Amino acid sequence: MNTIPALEVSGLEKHYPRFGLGPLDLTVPPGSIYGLIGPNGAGKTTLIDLIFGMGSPDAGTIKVCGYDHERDEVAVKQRAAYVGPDLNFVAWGKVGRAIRFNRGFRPTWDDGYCARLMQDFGISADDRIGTLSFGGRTKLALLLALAWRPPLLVLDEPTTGIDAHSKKAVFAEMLNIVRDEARTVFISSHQISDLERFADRVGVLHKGRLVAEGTTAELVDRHVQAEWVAENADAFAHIPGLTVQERDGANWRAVLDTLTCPVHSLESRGARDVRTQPLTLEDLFLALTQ
Amino acid sequence: MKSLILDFLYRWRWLFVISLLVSAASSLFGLPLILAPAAVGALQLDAQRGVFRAVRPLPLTRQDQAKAWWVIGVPLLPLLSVPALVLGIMLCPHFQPSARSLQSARIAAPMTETMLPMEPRPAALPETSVPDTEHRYIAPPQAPEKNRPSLWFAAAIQSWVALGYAGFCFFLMQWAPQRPAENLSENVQQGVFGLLWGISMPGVVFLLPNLPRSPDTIATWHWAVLAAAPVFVALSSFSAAKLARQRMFVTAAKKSPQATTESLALTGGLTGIPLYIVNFAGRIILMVALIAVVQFMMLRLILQGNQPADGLQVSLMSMMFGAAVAESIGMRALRALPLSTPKLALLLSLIPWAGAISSAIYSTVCCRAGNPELSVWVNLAAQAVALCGWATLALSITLHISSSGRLFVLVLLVLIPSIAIQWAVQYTVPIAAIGLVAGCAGFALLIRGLRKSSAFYRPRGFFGMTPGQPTAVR
Repeated sequence: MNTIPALEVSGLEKHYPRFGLGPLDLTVPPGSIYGLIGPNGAGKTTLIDLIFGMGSPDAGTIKVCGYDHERDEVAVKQRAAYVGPDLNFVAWGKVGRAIRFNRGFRPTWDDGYCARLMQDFGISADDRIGTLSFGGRTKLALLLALAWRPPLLVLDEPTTGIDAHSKKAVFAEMLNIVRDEARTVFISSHQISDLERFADRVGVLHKGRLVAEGTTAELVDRHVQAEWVAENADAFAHIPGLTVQERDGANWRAVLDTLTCPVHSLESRGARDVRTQPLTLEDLFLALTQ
Repeated sequence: MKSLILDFLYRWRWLFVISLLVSAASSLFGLPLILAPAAVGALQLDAQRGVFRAVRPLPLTRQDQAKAWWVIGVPLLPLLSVPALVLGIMLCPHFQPSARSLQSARIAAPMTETMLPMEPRPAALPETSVPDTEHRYIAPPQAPEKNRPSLWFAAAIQSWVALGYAGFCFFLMQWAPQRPAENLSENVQQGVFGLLWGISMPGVVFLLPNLPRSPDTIATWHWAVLAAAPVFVALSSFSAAKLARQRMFVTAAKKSPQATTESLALTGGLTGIPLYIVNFAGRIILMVALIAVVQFMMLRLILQGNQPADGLQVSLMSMMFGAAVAESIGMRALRALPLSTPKLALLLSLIPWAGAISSAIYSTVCCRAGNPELSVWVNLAAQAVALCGWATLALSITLHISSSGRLFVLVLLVLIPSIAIQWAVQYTVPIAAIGLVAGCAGFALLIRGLRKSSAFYRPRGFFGMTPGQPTAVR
């Protein structure tokens, strides 16, 4: 059984004048769907760009199926496919020409599978790419990425602009890829509900840092929303695992990571009337990234 | 309406400043308004970027918006250029020796010859009434006063034609494609537009210098051009409403038909890199050939003979289109392919190189430009090396800039080798050597940019020549 991580990010840092990514450590096991969620400007696209050599990191390493993304850039791209909203194939004119161009680089290209995907997505080889809607172009990018059955599929906001039917088809394909062929999908998305249903593991990226990571069930189970009463504000400042959402006088509301900040630790700091309730992944995301 | 014009002036202030400076400075050479269609070009870029749509919700009538676009595109730049032009002409005698001598010649009315301490008198020069002093010959003897070039006359004529030219370009803009062609007639329409648009912008450089400088030198075709100017201004003002209406609405995307079994037949034919070369390098070569043919015919018809700048426009256009086509391919899609960075840089460079080599062939073989002491093949090789080098540098620098200011940088970068090659023919080989250095620097920059620059991977709109691609808001 293959145990080499499909994607391994270690100590990755990239700094811009108004934004910094990392230090970031992240491991995506083979044969899984990994969902990366984060608000606008969290660094999701920056991370994906770095994987494909669109920019170079200030520190750290990225390995795809054991290959270093800088030293073995060709080997990495022979194993990883990329889909993003800014992919532009308009210069190729027609869908068929874009497919033929990409097929030349992919020895494992599957024409039958490509034809089936075209039917599923409602795209024809004769379609002018420039006349396709935004969703149509996203489907074309997905088709070009899926049709050669890559070991790692990296999707940056793949469902932006596509309708519910196509979204269903995309996720069905992703599940097929993972279930039948032990391939890996790394997906960044705003659609938390989609990831909640499909992703095996989820990472929450906020301001360039991974603030939570684990399986969807783990994350939901170990985080709770707590409300309590306490007058001493200093006692609840800078506690690891405690994210204060709201404070109104002596009334507090916060999200607790029960692994690092158990509920009884609040009481030991003087909290009274502590009440907890479970969170959905979306609630957790909103709390951690507010 | 006023706010739209002021907003345009503010956003494109650098273009207007350059245009006015060029107007003032080039008055010395009688080319005051060579940048007259620049405002229309900027307007087309704005239209391509969706500015017309963005202003639709503003509390302005559509007529007012149309009027604003027309004022911006047609009379604004020629009118703003008038003070610069007047200033340039007034300052002209202080900077240009020949003009000063022209004035002194007019003061000395009985004199039939203009003198300047510049060049030796030709041996065959006939005797004149002027005593033989250290003064030297500059103008032909017996030149009638009325035939002498008048800067004021030339400026007035050129301003008139420049206004009409801007009107022509604005009128043309209504046929600019808003989405890729779907059938043959749309393909033909867009092809004709591309051809006319492609030659219209730089065409002014060839038209204005050939306009009359004095009343007696007006030829028949000059009258035609002068008469056409107000016609195009009027036509442009009538087309403004249609243009504004067209550009205000998002072009409907084609609904994807259900895929048929016939359309799924994708096997066979070129794939990968060979398809890339045929598709893009072939497109550039075809484009250069088309421009060369049109220019060759146009120059022969209008100017009736070889011009020193025959190859200039083709070189300029080939390098500009080379860079523009290469950047239109979509760097993100290319970067995700299993190609090493140097190989990808080479693939990108192939497009401007194809254009540069084609234009070098046209320049040396068809126009016989180059150092006459060298053979055609040496000139061809030297020009190809120089143009390829500068084209690579131009491509890599414009890819480093994602704002529309890259157009200005691109024009500057392609002007240098094109002008040098056409006029400094005795330095053909050194120019090639400099081009080689520029090419190496450009290639190194390209590799660096592919690895490190985020500007390379931002969405671009092919300098306003295509409708662009909508991008998601993340």
